[in-house]
Amino acid sequence: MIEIKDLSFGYTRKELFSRLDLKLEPGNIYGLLGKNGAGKTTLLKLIAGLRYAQSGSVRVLGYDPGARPAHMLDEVFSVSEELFIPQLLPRTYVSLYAPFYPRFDHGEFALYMTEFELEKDKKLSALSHGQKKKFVLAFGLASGCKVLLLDEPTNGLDIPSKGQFRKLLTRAASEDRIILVSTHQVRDMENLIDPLIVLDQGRIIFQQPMSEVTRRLSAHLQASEPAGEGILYADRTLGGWVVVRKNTGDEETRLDLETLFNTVTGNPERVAEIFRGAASMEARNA
Amino acid sequence: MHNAVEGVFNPQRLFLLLRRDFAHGYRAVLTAMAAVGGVLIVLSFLSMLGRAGQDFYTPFYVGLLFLGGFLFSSGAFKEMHQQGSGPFYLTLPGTTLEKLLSKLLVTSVGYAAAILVFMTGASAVSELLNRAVFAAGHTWFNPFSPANLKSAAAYLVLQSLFLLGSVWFRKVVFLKILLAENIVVIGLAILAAIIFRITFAGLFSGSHLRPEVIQMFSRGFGNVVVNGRVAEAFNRGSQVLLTILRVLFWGAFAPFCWVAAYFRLRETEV
Repeated sequence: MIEIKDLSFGYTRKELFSRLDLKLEPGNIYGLLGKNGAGKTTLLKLIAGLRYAQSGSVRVLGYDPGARPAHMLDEVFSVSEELFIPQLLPRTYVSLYAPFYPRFDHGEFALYMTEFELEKDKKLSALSHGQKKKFVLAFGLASGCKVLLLDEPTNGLDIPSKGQFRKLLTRAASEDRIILVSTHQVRDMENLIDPLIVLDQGRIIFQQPMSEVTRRLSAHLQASEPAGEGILYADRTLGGWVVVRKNTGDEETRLDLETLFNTVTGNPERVAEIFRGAASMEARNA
Repeated sequence: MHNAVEGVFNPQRLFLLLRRDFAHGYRAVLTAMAAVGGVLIVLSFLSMLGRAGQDFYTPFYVGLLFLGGFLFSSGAFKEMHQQGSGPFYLTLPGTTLEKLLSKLLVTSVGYAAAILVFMTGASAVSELLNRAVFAAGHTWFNPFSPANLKSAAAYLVLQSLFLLGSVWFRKVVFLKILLAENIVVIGLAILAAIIFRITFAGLFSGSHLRPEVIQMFSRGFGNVVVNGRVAEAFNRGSQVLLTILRVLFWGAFAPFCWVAAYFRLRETEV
Protein backbone atom coordinates (compact mmCIF):
# COMPACT_ATOMS: atom_id res chain seq x y z
CA MET A 1 0.00 0.00 0.00
CA ILE A 2 1.09 3.58 -0.62
CA GLU A 3 -0.11 6.12 1.90
CA ILE A 4 0.56 9.84 1.74
CA LYS A 5 -0.63 12.03 4.60
CA ASP A 6 -0.52 15.78 4.92
CA LEU A 7 2.29 16.02 2.41
CA SER A 8 3.82 19.40 1.73
CA PHE A 9 6.52 19.85 -0.84
CA GLY A 10 7.82 22.65 -2.98
CA TYR A 11 10.78 23.80 -4.97
CA THR A 12 12.75 26.94 -4.13
CA ARG A 13 10.35 29.32 -5.81
CA LYS A 14 7.19 27.30 -5.98
CA GLU A 15 5.08 25.42 -3.49
CA LEU A 16 3.76 22.33 -5.19
CA PHE A 17 1.84 20.26 -2.65
CA SER A 18 0.15 21.50 0.45
CA ARG A 19 -1.33 18.97 2.87
CA LEU A 20 -1.85 16.38 0.15
CA ASP A 21 -3.44 13.04 1.06
CA LEU A 22 -3.46 9.96 -1.12
CA LYS A 23 -3.97 6.27 -0.55
CA LEU A 24 -3.28 3.63 -3.19
CA GLU A 25 -4.29 0.00 -2.75
CA PRO A 26 -2.85 -3.09 -4.46
CA GLY A 27 -4.74 -4.63 -7.35
CA ASN A 28 -5.24 -1.41 -9.28
CA ILE A 29 -3.79 0.40 -12.26
CA TYR A 30 -4.09 4.00 -11.14
CA GLY A 31 -4.05 6.76 -13.71
CA LEU A 32 -2.50 9.99 -12.53
CA LEU A 33 -3.59 12.93 -14.63
CA GLY A 34 -2.84 16.62 -14.30
CA LYS A 35 -1.94 19.68 -16.27
CA ASN A 36 1.68 20.55 -17.05
CA GLY A 37 3.47 21.50 -13.84
CA ALA A 38 0.77 19.99 -11.62
CA GLY A 39 3.40 17.84 -9.93
CA LYS A 40 2.75 14.37 -11.36
CA THR A 41 6.41 13.53 -11.88
CA THR A 42 7.33 15.02 -8.51
CA LEU A 43 4.69 12.90 -6.82
CA LEU A 44 6.15 9.78 -8.45
CA LYS A 45 9.62 10.87 -7.29
CA LEU A 46 8.38 11.32 -3.73
CA ILE A 47 6.95 7.80 -3.81
CA ALA A 48 10.17 6.40 -5.27
CA GLY A 49 12.37 8.16 -2.69
CA LEU A 50 14.00 10.50 -5.18
CA ARG A 51 12.54 13.56 -3.45
CA TYR A 52 11.88 14.08 0.24
CA ALA A 53 8.67 15.34 1.81
CA GLN A 54 9.14 18.70 3.52
CA SER A 55 6.35 17.86 5.95
CA GLY A 56 3.80 15.12 6.31
CA SER A 57 4.52 11.49 5.58
CA VAL A 58 4.89 9.12 2.66
CA ARG A 59 4.81 5.38 3.30
CA VAL A 60 5.40 2.81 0.58
CA LEU A 61 4.76 -0.81 1.58
CA GLY A 62 5.28 0.36 5.15
CA TYR A 63 8.66 1.97 4.45
CA ASP A 64 9.72 5.60 4.41
CA PRO A 65 10.89 6.06 0.81
CA GLY A 66 13.07 9.02 1.86
CA ALA A 67 15.39 6.57 3.61
CA ARG A 68 15.64 4.56 0.37
CA PRO A 69 15.72 1.22 2.20
CA ALA A 70 16.94 -1.62 0.01
CA HIS A 71 13.93 -3.78 0.85
CA MET A 72 11.60 -1.09 -0.43
CA LEU A 73 13.70 -0.41 -3.53
CA ASP A 74 13.61 -4.06 -4.56
CA GLU A 75 9.80 -3.81 -4.57
CA VAL A 76 9.50 -0.52 -6.46
CA PHE A 77 10.35 -0.11 -10.12
CA SER A 78 10.23 3.30 -11.78
CA VAL A 79 10.18 4.01 -15.47
CA SER A 80 10.94 7.69 -15.83
CA GLU A 81 10.75 9.79 -18.97
CA GLU A 82 14.53 10.08 -19.14
CA LEU A 83 15.81 6.55 -19.58
CA PHE A 84 19.10 5.08 -18.47
CA ILE A 85 20.31 2.84 -21.27
CA PRO A 86 23.88 1.56 -21.02
CA GLN A 87 25.93 0.18 -23.90
CA LEU A 88 25.04 -3.41 -23.15
CA LEU A 89 23.32 -6.31 -24.82
CA PRO A 90 19.86 -7.07 -23.41
CA ARG A 91 21.07 -10.34 -21.89
CA THR A 92 24.01 -8.59 -20.18
CA TYR A 93 21.67 -5.94 -18.82
CA VAL A 94 19.38 -8.63 -17.44
CA SER A 95 22.25 -10.59 -15.95
CA LEU A 96 23.49 -7.45 -14.18
CA TYR A 97 20.19 -6.01 -12.97
CA ALA A 98 17.69 -8.84 -12.60
CA PRO A 99 19.44 -10.24 -9.47
CA PHE A 100 18.59 -6.98 -7.68
CA TYR A 101 14.89 -7.92 -7.91
CA PRO A 102 14.17 -11.13 -5.99
CA ARG A 103 11.04 -12.04 -7.98
CA PHE A 104 12.29 -11.15 -11.45
CA ASP A 105 10.59 -13.50 -13.90
CA HIS A 106 12.89 -14.40 -16.81
CA GLY A 107 10.10 -16.25 -18.62
CA GLU A 108 7.81 -13.23 -18.50
CA PHE A 109 10.67 -11.01 -19.63
CA ALA A 110 11.32 -13.20 -22.66
CA LEU A 111 7.62 -13.04 -23.48
CA TYR A 112 7.54 -9.24 -23.21
CA MET A 113 10.64 -8.99 -25.40
CA THR A 114 8.88 -11.07 -28.04
CA GLU A 115 5.61 -9.16 -27.74
CA PHE A 116 7.44 -5.85 -28.10
CA GLU A 117 9.38 -7.27 -31.07
CA LEU A 118 12.72 -6.31 -29.50
CA GLU A 119 15.98 -7.60 -30.94
CA LYS A 120 17.97 -9.68 -28.49
CA ASP A 121 21.36 -9.32 -30.13
CA LYS A 122 21.46 -5.59 -30.59
CA LYS A 123 23.10 -3.28 -28.07
CA LEU A 124 20.58 -1.28 -26.09
CA SER A 125 22.29 2.00 -26.89
CA ALA A 126 21.73 1.33 -30.59
CA LEU A 127 17.95 1.03 -30.20
CA SER A 128 15.52 3.81 -31.06
CA HIS A 129 13.96 5.80 -28.23
CA GLY A 130 10.72 3.85 -28.52
CA GLN A 131 12.57 0.53 -28.46
CA LYS A 132 14.58 1.60 -25.44
CA LYS A 133 11.38 2.50 -23.68
CA LYS A 134 9.84 -0.85 -24.55
CA PHE A 135 12.90 -2.63 -23.19
CA VAL A 136 12.76 -0.78 -19.88
CA LEU A 137 9.01 -1.38 -19.67
CA ALA A 138 9.53 -5.08 -20.35
CA PHE A 139 12.16 -5.23 -17.62
CA GLY A 140 9.96 -3.34 -15.17
CA LEU A 141 6.89 -5.48 -15.85
CA ALA A 142 8.96 -8.64 -15.38
CA SER A 143 10.67 -7.34 -12.23
CA GLY A 144 7.98 -8.75 -9.97
CA CYS A 145 7.96 -5.48 -8.02
CA LYS A 146 4.86 -4.75 -5.97
CA VAL A 147 4.89 -1.11 -7.05
CA LEU A 148 5.34 0.03 -10.63
CA LEU A 149 5.67 3.76 -11.25
CA LEU A 150 5.34 4.64 -14.90
CA ASP A 151 5.90 8.22 -16.00
CA GLU A 152 4.52 8.85 -19.48
CA PRO A 153 5.05 5.21 -20.48
CA THR A 154 3.59 5.57 -23.97
CA ASN A 155 5.62 8.62 -25.01
CA GLY A 156 7.75 7.60 -27.93
CA LEU A 157 5.92 4.35 -28.62
CA ASP A 158 4.53 3.79 -32.10
CA ILE A 159 0.86 2.89 -32.63
CA PRO A 160 1.23 -0.93 -32.52
CA SER A 161 3.50 -0.65 -29.48
CA LYS A 162 0.89 1.33 -27.59
CA GLY A 163 -1.55 -1.53 -28.10
CA GLN A 164 1.08 -4.06 -27.05
CA PHE A 165 1.84 -1.99 -23.97
CA ARG A 166 -1.82 -1.92 -22.92
CA LYS A 167 -2.05 -5.66 -23.39
CA LEU A 168 1.12 -6.37 -21.41
CA LEU A 169 0.25 -3.97 -18.63
CA THR A 170 -3.08 -5.72 -18.18
CA ARG A 171 -1.24 -9.03 -18.08
CA ALA A 172 1.26 -7.72 -15.54
CA ALA A 173 -1.43 -6.36 -13.23
CA SER A 174 -2.11 -8.55 -10.23
CA GLU A 175 -3.90 -8.48 -6.90
CA ASP A 176 -0.77 -7.63 -4.94
CA ARG A 177 0.55 -4.99 -7.29
CA ILE A 178 0.06 -1.23 -7.43
CA ILE A 179 0.61 0.27 -10.85
CA LEU A 180 0.62 4.06 -11.01
CA VAL A 181 0.67 5.56 -14.48
CA SER A 182 1.25 9.27 -14.91
CA THR A 183 0.34 10.43 -18.38
CA HIS A 184 -0.88 13.11 -20.72
CA GLN A 185 -1.62 10.53 -23.38
CA VAL A 186 -5.07 9.77 -22.04
CA ARG A 187 -6.26 8.11 -25.23
CA ASP A 188 -3.51 5.51 -24.87
CA MET A 189 -4.81 4.68 -21.42
CA GLU A 190 -8.49 4.41 -22.26
CA ASN A 191 -10.04 1.28 -20.74
CA LEU A 192 -6.82 0.56 -18.89
CA ILE A 193 -6.46 2.90 -15.96
CA ASP A 194 -8.92 2.59 -13.14
CA PRO A 195 -9.25 4.36 -10.71
CA LEU A 196 -8.45 7.80 -11.99
CA ILE A 197 -6.60 10.41 -9.94
CA VAL A 198 -6.54 14.06 -10.95
CA LEU A 199 -3.90 16.34 -9.52
CA ASP A 200 -4.48 20.06 -9.75
CA GLN A 201 -2.81 23.00 -8.01
CA GLY A 202 -1.10 20.83 -5.45
CA ARG A 203 -4.20 18.88 -4.47
CA ILE A 204 -5.85 15.61 -5.40
CA ILE A 205 -9.15 16.95 -6.70
CA PHE A 206 -10.48 13.63 -7.93
CA GLN A 207 -9.90 9.98 -7.12
CA GLN A 208 -12.64 7.66 -8.28
CA PRO A 209 -13.06 4.28 -9.95
CA MET A 210 -14.51 4.41 -13.44
CA SER A 211 -17.62 2.53 -12.28
CA GLU A 212 -18.40 5.45 -9.99
CA VAL A 213 -17.75 7.91 -12.80
CA THR A 214 -20.27 6.29 -15.12
CA ARG A 215 -22.80 6.06 -12.28
CA ARG A 216 -22.56 9.71 -11.31
CA LEU A 217 -21.84 11.50 -14.58
CA SER A 218 -23.47 11.27 -17.96
CA ALA A 219 -22.15 12.29 -21.34
CA HIS A 220 -24.34 12.84 -24.39
CA LEU A 221 -23.83 14.02 -27.90
CA GLN A 222 -26.31 16.67 -28.95
CA ALA A 223 -26.67 18.52 -32.22
CA SER A 224 -27.14 22.07 -30.96
CA GLU A 225 -25.07 24.20 -28.60
CA PRO A 226 -26.10 23.29 -25.06
CA ALA A 227 -27.68 25.89 -22.82
CA GLY A 228 -29.17 25.94 -19.37
CA GLU A 229 -28.17 24.76 -15.94
CA GLY A 230 -26.59 21.47 -14.99
CA ILE A 231 -23.93 21.47 -17.67
CA LEU A 232 -20.57 20.50 -16.22
CA TYR A 233 -18.67 20.49 -19.45
CA ALA A 234 -19.42 20.97 -23.14
CA ASP A 235 -17.13 20.62 -26.09
CA ARG A 236 -17.80 21.04 -29.78
CA THR A 237 -16.93 17.94 -31.75
CA LEU A 238 -17.74 16.35 -35.09
CA GLY A 239 -21.47 15.99 -35.33
CA GLY A 240 -22.37 18.33 -32.50
CA TRP A 241 -21.55 18.87 -28.84
CA VAL A 242 -20.42 16.49 -26.15
CA VAL A 243 -22.17 17.55 -22.97
CA VAL A 244 -21.42 16.24 -19.50
CA ARG A 245 -23.99 16.49 -16.73
CA LYS A 246 -24.71 14.90 -13.42
CA ASN A 247 -26.28 11.51 -14.03
CA THR A 248 -29.73 11.75 -12.60
CA GLY A 249 -31.15 8.57 -14.05
CA ASP A 250 -30.21 4.91 -14.10
CA GLU A 251 -28.68 5.01 -17.54
CA GLU A 252 -24.90 4.66 -17.52
CA THR A 253 -22.95 6.38 -20.27
CA ARG A 254 -19.29 6.21 -20.98
CA LEU A 255 -17.00 9.22 -20.67
CA ASP A 256 -13.67 9.19 -22.38
CA LEU A 257 -10.74 10.17 -20.17
CA GLU A 258 -10.09 13.46 -21.92
CA THR A 259 -13.67 14.63 -21.41
CA LEU A 260 -13.64 13.44 -17.84
CA PHE A 261 -10.37 15.23 -17.12
CA ASN A 262 -11.66 18.47 -18.61
CA THR A 263 -14.88 18.15 -16.65
CA VAL A 264 -13.05 17.59 -13.38
CA THR A 265 -10.47 20.36 -13.82
CA GLY A 266 -13.08 22.79 -15.16
CA ASN A 267 -15.50 22.34 -12.26
CA PRO A 268 -13.64 20.83 -9.34
CA GLU A 269 -16.09 21.97 -6.66
CA ARG A 270 -19.23 20.89 -8.53
CA VAL A 271 -17.72 17.55 -9.41
CA ALA A 272 -16.60 17.04 -5.81
CA GLU A 273 -20.18 17.81 -4.72
CA ILE A 274 -21.57 15.20 -7.13
CA PHE A 275 -19.11 12.58 -5.94
CA ARG A 276 -19.51 13.39 -2.27
CA GLY A 277 -20.48 10.21 -0.53
CA ALA A 278 -18.80 7.95 -3.08
CA ALA A 279 -17.11 5.03 -1.37
CA SER A 280 -13.52 5.73 -2.35
CA MET A 281 -13.80 9.43 -1.56
CA GLU A 282 -15.19 8.67 1.86
CA ALA A 283 -12.43 6.21 2.54
CA ARG A 284 -9.84 8.73 1.44
CA ASN A 285 -11.24 11.52 3.55
CA ALA A 286 -11.52 9.25 6.56
CA MET B 1 10.29 -8.24 8.89
CA HIS B 2 13.81 -8.18 7.54
CA ASN B 3 16.91 -8.48 9.68
CA ALA B 4 18.05 -4.97 10.74
CA VAL B 5 21.72 -5.49 9.83
CA GLU B 6 20.78 -7.03 6.50
CA GLY B 7 18.68 -3.94 5.83
CA VAL B 8 21.77 -1.74 6.16
CA PHE B 9 24.44 -3.99 4.69
CA ASN B 10 24.19 -7.13 2.63
CA PRO B 11 27.35 -8.60 1.04
CA GLN B 12 25.30 -10.05 -1.81
CA ARG B 13 23.93 -6.63 -2.78
CA LEU B 14 27.42 -5.12 -2.46
CA PHE B 15 28.72 -7.80 -4.80
CA LEU B 16 25.95 -7.01 -7.32
CA LEU B 17 26.79 -3.30 -7.18
CA LEU B 18 30.51 -4.00 -7.60
CA ARG B 19 29.85 -6.31 -10.53
CA ARG B 20 27.67 -3.66 -12.12
CA ASP B 21 30.27 -0.91 -11.61
CA PHE B 22 32.91 -3.17 -13.10
CA ALA B 23 30.75 -4.11 -16.09
CA HIS B 24 30.03 -0.47 -16.88
CA GLY B 25 33.55 0.81 -16.34
CA TYR B 26 36.01 -1.86 -17.39
CA ARG B 27 36.09 -0.96 -21.08
CA ALA B 28 36.99 2.67 -20.41
CA VAL B 29 39.64 1.59 -17.89
CA LEU B 30 41.16 -0.96 -20.29
CA THR B 31 41.23 1.61 -23.10
CA ALA B 32 42.91 4.17 -20.83
CA MET B 33 45.42 1.57 -19.62
CA ALA B 34 46.26 0.52 -23.18
CA ALA B 35 46.88 4.15 -24.12
CA VAL B 36 48.94 4.87 -21.02
CA GLY B 37 50.83 1.59 -21.45
CA GLY B 38 51.74 2.57 -25.02
CA VAL B 39 52.96 5.99 -23.89
CA LEU B 40 54.98 4.39 -21.08
CA ILE B 41 56.75 1.99 -23.42
CA VAL B 42 57.56 4.70 -25.96
CA LEU B 43 58.82 7.15 -23.33
CA SER B 44 60.86 4.47 -21.64
CA PHE B 45 62.36 3.49 -24.98
CA LEU B 46 63.23 7.10 -25.85
CA SER B 47 64.67 7.80 -22.43
CA MET B 48 67.10 4.91 -22.91
CA LEU B 49 68.95 7.11 -25.37
CA GLY B 50 70.23 9.24 -22.52
CA ARG B 51 69.33 8.00 -19.06
CA ALA B 52 69.74 4.24 -18.90
CA GLY B 53 69.87 2.70 -15.45
CA GLN B 54 67.77 5.36 -13.80
CA ASP B 55 64.50 4.78 -11.94
CA PHE B 56 62.19 5.71 -14.77
CA TYR B 57 59.03 3.98 -13.58
CA THR B 58 58.50 5.25 -10.05
CA PRO B 59 57.73 8.87 -11.06
CA PHE B 60 55.44 7.54 -13.79
CA TYR B 61 53.69 5.30 -11.28
CA VAL B 62 53.27 8.14 -8.78
CA GLY B 63 51.78 10.43 -11.45
CA LEU B 64 49.47 7.74 -12.73
CA LEU B 65 48.41 6.73 -9.24
CA PHE B 66 47.62 10.20 -7.97
CA LEU B 67 46.52 12.17 -11.02
CA GLY B 68 44.75 9.25 -12.70
CA GLY B 69 43.24 8.10 -9.42
CA PHE B 70 41.96 11.53 -8.48
CA LEU B 71 40.37 11.94 -11.91
CA PHE B 72 38.88 8.45 -11.68
CA SER B 73 37.55 9.08 -8.16
CA SER B 74 36.03 12.44 -9.15
CA GLY B 75 33.91 10.65 -11.73
CA ALA B 76 32.77 7.85 -9.42
CA PHE B 77 29.27 9.24 -8.86
CA LYS B 78 28.91 10.96 -12.22
CA GLU B 79 25.96 8.75 -13.16
CA MET B 80 24.08 9.90 -10.08
CA HIS B 81 24.09 13.50 -11.32
CA GLN B 82 22.83 12.76 -14.81
CA GLN B 83 19.20 12.94 -15.82
CA GLY B 84 18.44 9.41 -16.91
CA SER B 85 20.94 7.45 -14.89
CA GLY B 86 20.54 9.45 -11.65
CA PRO B 87 17.04 8.24 -10.75
CA PHE B 88 17.96 4.76 -11.95
CA TYR B 89 21.05 4.58 -9.75
CA LEU B 90 19.38 5.98 -6.66
CA THR B 91 16.45 3.59 -6.95
CA LEU B 92 18.65 0.59 -7.57
CA PRO B 93 18.04 -1.85 -4.70
CA GLY B 94 20.99 -1.21 -2.43
CA THR B 95 21.51 0.86 0.68
CA THR B 96 23.43 4.12 0.82
CA LEU B 97 26.24 2.33 2.64
CA GLU B 98 26.48 -0.38 -0.02
CA LYS B 99 26.46 2.15 -2.85
CA LEU B 100 29.19 4.21 -1.19
CA LEU B 101 31.26 1.12 -0.36
CA SER B 102 31.10 -0.20 -3.92
CA LYS B 103 32.38 3.09 -5.35
CA LEU B 104 34.95 3.43 -2.58
CA LEU B 105 36.35 -0.07 -3.12
CA VAL B 106 36.59 0.41 -6.88
CA THR B 107 38.23 3.84 -6.76
CA SER B 108 40.56 3.27 -3.78
CA VAL B 109 41.85 -0.26 -3.21
CA GLY B 110 40.69 -1.45 -6.62
CA TYR B 111 42.37 1.37 -8.50
CA ALA B 112 45.59 1.31 -6.44
CA ALA B 113 45.92 -2.47 -6.89
CA ALA B 114 45.11 -2.24 -10.61
CA ILE B 115 47.76 0.44 -11.11
CA LEU B 116 50.37 -1.61 -9.27
CA VAL B 117 49.59 -4.65 -11.43
CA PHE B 118 49.46 -2.54 -14.57
CA MET B 119 52.76 -0.80 -13.85
CA THR B 120 54.43 -4.12 -13.07
CA GLY B 121 53.20 -5.60 -16.35
CA ALA B 122 53.78 -2.54 -18.55
CA SER B 123 57.24 -1.85 -17.12
CA ALA B 124 58.22 -5.52 -17.55
CA VAL B 125 57.22 -5.41 -21.23
CA SER B 126 59.00 -2.09 -21.66
CA GLU B 127 62.16 -3.34 -19.97
CA LEU B 128 62.25 -6.54 -22.02
CA LEU B 129 62.07 -4.35 -25.11
CA ASN B 130 64.77 -1.99 -23.83
CA ARG B 131 67.07 -4.84 -22.94
CA ALA B 132 66.51 -6.53 -26.29
CA VAL B 133 67.34 -3.37 -28.23
CA PHE B 134 69.91 -1.63 -26.05
CA ALA B 135 71.23 -4.56 -24.04
CA ALA B 136 70.59 -2.32 -21.02
CA GLY B 137 67.61 -0.89 -19.23
CA HIS B 138 66.14 1.12 -16.42
CA THR B 139 65.76 -0.12 -12.88
CA TRP B 140 62.94 -2.68 -12.71
CA PHE B 141 59.69 -1.42 -11.20
CA ASN B 142 59.17 -3.02 -7.81
CA PRO B 143 55.51 -2.95 -6.75
CA PHE B 144 56.45 -3.99 -3.21
CA SER B 145 59.08 -1.33 -2.57
CA PRO B 146 58.32 0.62 0.64
CA ALA B 147 58.20 3.90 -1.30
CA ASN B 148 55.62 2.58 -3.78
CA LEU B 149 53.50 1.03 -1.07
CA LYS B 150 53.63 4.25 0.93
CA SER B 151 52.50 6.17 -2.15
CA ALA B 152 49.59 3.75 -2.48
CA ALA B 153 48.71 4.27 1.19
CA ALA B 154 48.82 8.06 0.76
CA TYR B 155 46.59 7.69 -2.31
CA LEU B 156 44.04 5.70 -0.32
CA VAL B 157 43.79 8.60 2.12
CA LEU B 158 43.78 11.47 -0.37
CA GLN B 159 41.37 9.94 -2.86
CA SER B 160 38.63 10.03 -0.22
CA LEU B 161 38.48 13.80 -0.78
CA PHE B 162 37.83 13.28 -4.49
CA LEU B 163 35.24 10.63 -3.76
CA LEU B 164 33.47 13.08 -1.47
CA GLY B 165 33.66 15.73 -4.18
CA SER B 166 32.19 13.28 -6.64
CA VAL B 167 29.13 12.85 -4.43
CA TRP B 168 28.94 16.56 -3.68
CA PHE B 169 29.41 18.28 -7.02
CA ARG B 170 27.34 17.76 -10.16
CA LYS B 171 29.67 19.08 -12.84
CA VAL B 172 33.36 19.95 -13.38
CA VAL B 173 34.01 17.85 -10.28
CA PHE B 174 37.80 17.60 -10.48
CA LEU B 175 38.38 21.34 -10.85
CA LYS B 176 35.84 22.19 -8.17
CA ILE B 177 37.59 19.84 -5.75
CA LEU B 178 40.96 21.44 -6.51
CA LEU B 179 39.46 24.88 -5.98
CA ALA B 180 37.76 23.84 -2.75
CA GLU B 181 40.97 22.16 -1.62
CA ASN B 182 42.96 25.35 -2.26
CA ILE B 183 40.47 27.42 -0.33
CA VAL B 184 40.70 25.00 2.59
CA VAL B 185 44.51 24.98 2.43
CA ILE B 186 44.62 28.80 2.46
CA GLY B 187 42.20 28.80 5.39
CA LEU B 188 44.33 26.24 7.24
CA ALA B 189 47.50 28.23 6.51
CA ILE B 190 45.93 31.33 8.03
CA LEU B 191 44.80 29.29 11.03
CA ALA B 192 48.26 27.75 11.36
CA ALA B 193 49.85 31.21 11.24
CA ILE B 194 47.56 32.39 14.03
CA ILE B 195 48.29 29.30 16.14
CA PHE B 196 52.01 29.69 15.48
CA ARG B 197 51.90 33.33 16.50
CA ILE B 198 50.12 32.48 19.75
CA THR B 199 52.14 29.35 20.57
CA PHE B 200 55.53 30.86 19.78
CA ALA B 201 54.85 34.35 20.99
CA GLY B 202 58.44 34.49 22.25
CA LEU B 203 59.81 34.32 18.71
CA PHE B 204 58.02 37.50 17.73
CA SER B 205 58.67 41.12 18.29
CA GLY B 206 55.35 42.83 17.55
CA SER B 207 54.04 41.38 14.32
CA HIS B 208 57.51 40.41 13.04
CA LEU B 209 59.84 37.53 13.80
CA ARG B 210 62.83 38.50 15.90
CA PRO B 211 66.12 38.90 13.91
CA GLU B 212 67.83 35.89 15.52
CA VAL B 213 64.85 33.66 14.62
CA ILE B 214 65.01 34.77 11.00
CA GLN B 215 68.70 33.96 11.12
CA MET B 216 67.89 30.53 12.52
CA PHE B 217 65.42 29.86 9.69
CA SER B 218 67.81 31.09 7.01
CA ARG B 219 70.79 29.06 8.22
CA GLY B 220 68.90 25.92 9.08
CA PHE B 221 68.50 24.59 12.57
CA GLY B 222 71.42 22.23 12.84
CA ASN B 223 74.32 24.50 13.64
CA VAL B 224 72.49 27.44 15.15
CA VAL B 225 72.55 28.02 18.83
CA VAL B 226 69.72 30.23 19.89
CA ASN B 227 68.23 31.07 23.18
CA GLY B 228 67.71 27.71 24.90
CA ARG B 229 64.12 28.34 25.91
CA VAL B 230 63.11 29.48 22.40
CA ALA B 231 64.70 26.47 20.71
CA GLU B 232 63.16 24.10 23.21
CA ALA B 233 59.71 25.61 22.77
CA PHE B 234 60.06 25.51 19.02
CA ASN B 235 61.15 21.88 18.94
CA ARG B 236 58.48 20.75 21.34
CA GLY B 237 55.77 22.68 19.48
CA SER B 238 56.92 21.33 16.12
CA GLN B 239 56.83 17.75 17.37
CA VAL B 240 53.36 18.14 18.82
CA LEU B 241 52.06 19.76 15.65
CA LEU B 242 53.61 17.11 13.42
CA THR B 243 52.14 14.32 15.53
CA ILE B 244 48.71 15.94 15.40
CA LEU B 245 48.97 16.39 11.65
CA ARG B 246 50.09 12.77 11.16
CA VAL B 247 47.20 11.47 13.24
CA LEU B 248 44.74 13.72 11.40
CA PHE B 249 46.07 12.69 8.00
CA TRP B 250 46.41 8.93 8.49
CA GLY B 251 43.60 8.41 10.98
CA ALA B 252 40.92 11.04 10.57
CA PHE B 253 41.04 12.57 7.10
CA ALA B 254 39.67 9.64 5.08
CA PRO B 255 37.01 8.58 7.64
CA PHE B 256 35.81 12.18 7.79
CA CYS B 257 35.43 12.29 3.98
CA TRP B 258 33.70 8.89 3.93
CA VAL B 259 31.20 9.89 6.59
CA ALA B 260 30.52 13.23 4.87
CA ALA B 261 30.08 11.38 1.54
CA TYR B 262 27.67 8.93 3.16
CA PHE B 263 25.41 11.67 4.51
CA ARG B 264 25.59 13.65 1.29
CA LEU B 265 24.68 10.55 -0.71
CA ARG B 266 21.82 9.74 1.66
CA GLU B 267 20.30 13.17 1.23
CA THR B 268 20.79 13.43 -2.52
CA GLU B 269 17.60 14.21 -4.43
CA VAL B 270 17.17 14.16 -8.19
